[in-house]
Amino acid sequence: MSRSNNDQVLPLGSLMPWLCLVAFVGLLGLCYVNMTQKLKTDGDLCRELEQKVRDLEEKIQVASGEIIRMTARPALERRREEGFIKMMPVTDMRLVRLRPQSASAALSADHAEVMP
Amino acid sequence: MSPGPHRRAGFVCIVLALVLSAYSARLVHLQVGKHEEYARVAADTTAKRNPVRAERGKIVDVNGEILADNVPIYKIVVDSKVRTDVQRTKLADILARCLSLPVGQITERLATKRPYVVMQKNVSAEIATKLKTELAEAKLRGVTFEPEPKRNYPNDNMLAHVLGFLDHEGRGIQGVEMMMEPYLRGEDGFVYTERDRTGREIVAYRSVERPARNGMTVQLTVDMGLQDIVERELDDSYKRLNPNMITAVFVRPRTGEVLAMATRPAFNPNDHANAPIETTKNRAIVDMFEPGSTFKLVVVSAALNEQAVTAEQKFNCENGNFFYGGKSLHDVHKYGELSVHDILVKSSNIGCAKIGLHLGADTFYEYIRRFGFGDRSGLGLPGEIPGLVHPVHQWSGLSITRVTMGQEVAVTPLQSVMSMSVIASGGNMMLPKIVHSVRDQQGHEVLSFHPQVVRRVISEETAAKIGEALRGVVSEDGTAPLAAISGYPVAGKTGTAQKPNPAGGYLTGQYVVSFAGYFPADDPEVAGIILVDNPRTPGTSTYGGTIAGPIFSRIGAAMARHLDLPARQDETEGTTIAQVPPANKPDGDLN
Repeated sequence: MSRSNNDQVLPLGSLMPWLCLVAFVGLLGLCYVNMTQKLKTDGDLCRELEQKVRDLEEKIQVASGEIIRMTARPALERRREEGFIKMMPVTDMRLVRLRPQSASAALSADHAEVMP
Repeated sequence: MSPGPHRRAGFVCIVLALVLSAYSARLVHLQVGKHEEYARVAADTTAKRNPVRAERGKIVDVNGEILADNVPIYKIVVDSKVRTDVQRTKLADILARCLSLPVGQITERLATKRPYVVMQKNVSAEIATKLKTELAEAKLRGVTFEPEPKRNYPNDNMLAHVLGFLDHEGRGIQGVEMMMEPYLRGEDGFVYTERDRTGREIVAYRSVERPARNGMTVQLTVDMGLQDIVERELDDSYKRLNPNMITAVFVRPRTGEVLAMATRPAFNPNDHANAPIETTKNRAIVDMFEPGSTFKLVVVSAALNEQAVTAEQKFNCENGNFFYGGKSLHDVHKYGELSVHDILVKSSNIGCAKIGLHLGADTFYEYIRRFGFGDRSGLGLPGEIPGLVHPVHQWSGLSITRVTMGQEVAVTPLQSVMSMSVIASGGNMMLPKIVHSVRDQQGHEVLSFHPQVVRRVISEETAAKIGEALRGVVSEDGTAPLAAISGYPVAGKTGTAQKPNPAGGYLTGQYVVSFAGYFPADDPEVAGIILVDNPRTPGTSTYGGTIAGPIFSRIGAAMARHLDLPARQDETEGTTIAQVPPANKPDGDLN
């Protein structure tokens, strides 16, 4: 074996630990970058979802506010005066009473008389 | 001789070592010694404590009907610092269109180039949504929508005096809003966030986070069905009688629950800032008046309870003119001898004065206090006054004959109705209450209020006797036949008091008329008072029985129907008499 041939041989055996270490560190770095990026995108996604939930909650609040406004007593009264809704007298026959009433005392509301 | 190379190298090394040591020392000083200071500076630059606003709790009636809630409104804030002229013009156009503001005004504000320019407050959710959409389409950033919840009272001026309102910082300053502030307010949360150089939050670096605890729901004892009945009738009477003020309070006598409480004139709590201050007062608890004859039940109850007199015992009513202490005391009608029972039914001033004299001032005063006069009722609403009852040592020689008929004392309408409740509940003074319960966001009951007897005022037997006499008041022989409710026995007492003159004496022709009563008299479910301050009724007599009595009757009839109280048989004719009037509602009502 000539001397020049011996010089071209890489001592892989002794370099292997270092190569592994470099590869490992490189991989760690890549993982770190990847995870940081993932954290950032997940964070953005999380923020977007939170914003959507907030928007939705606001919409619910606005809608329920609108329902309350439209079903409030003054609003219903206005609607009744405008003729959009009408109150129908409920006869005694259609009432389910929690307390039993004597038959003689039971009169239907639509037969009520106006007091002077 | 010059130093050798080794010495020079050594010298350089020492200098370098000293310089590096100095740097190292400085580094250690910065990293260790001033760590906290610089960490705080760094945190202030990137980290931010964001508050999470708690929502104020709702107020609901006994059936869960919402009386006060929150609606989202927004403050529009613009960052005008980093914008090109083109962007600024575009933004001004959109803002002007959506917020209905002049373009010039917006351009002027944007030209300030400040990072926080408030463009408009109190922007509704509808407009905010429209603005958001337009900004997104135009790809414009830097406009922030800061939510600012606004309190909303959907029923406008209904129950306004009870509900109260908030100040500009969102704190309750009147009514239930103030009374239940610790429960309604909730607790703001916060979250610490870090931001990158563009100002966007780095979610991964969120640190301490505490969620907001929303306010609790306060349920009142008030029934809006009954409140509606009362308010409609008060509106009608206020227009018709044109008084200074009219107040009504209705309670459940056995439990002390307030069922309805209203005052006219009223105000709209959604716009309380523009309401005259006088209209915002809850007259049922902050105003006092001379009760007049409604106070007579106190002296009669005291005398019967102390067994100083019997119900049948007769007193000479001096044919309407009783000279005592150098002054004359008159009755509206002339009476001879009247029994104690009839003194109450006929509302004889002279008869009551004589019972008072027979009973003695000290005992009478004790019963006045037992009936709750001169003390706050304990309802809890802010601003309640105790009324005015002078101690006996401040009484003049005439006082015993005047206090017995409701002069020289001042009471609140609530005190008056609670004294009537004593008779209705068989002699017990109940603690009045307006809050039924408090529930958290999950619906769990945190607090509930149960009926509470404050004291026994008179015996059950005495209460029954007084009740019997009060039924006589609402008969053809009594002073308030117009307070009767068809189908339901009513017990009550009228009051007609001249208005005191601030300069002394009484005002001529100005009266405070009232009727306090309860029904059904044989099984009381509702007790109430109607009080009208200075009704203007030209051509008709101004008495509690003729002015306040009919109002009580109409309200009572509608309430009986709403509560589905079983109607009684007519004792005289033996026929069914359930005739419930529709209480001024031609096409039916909302109850």
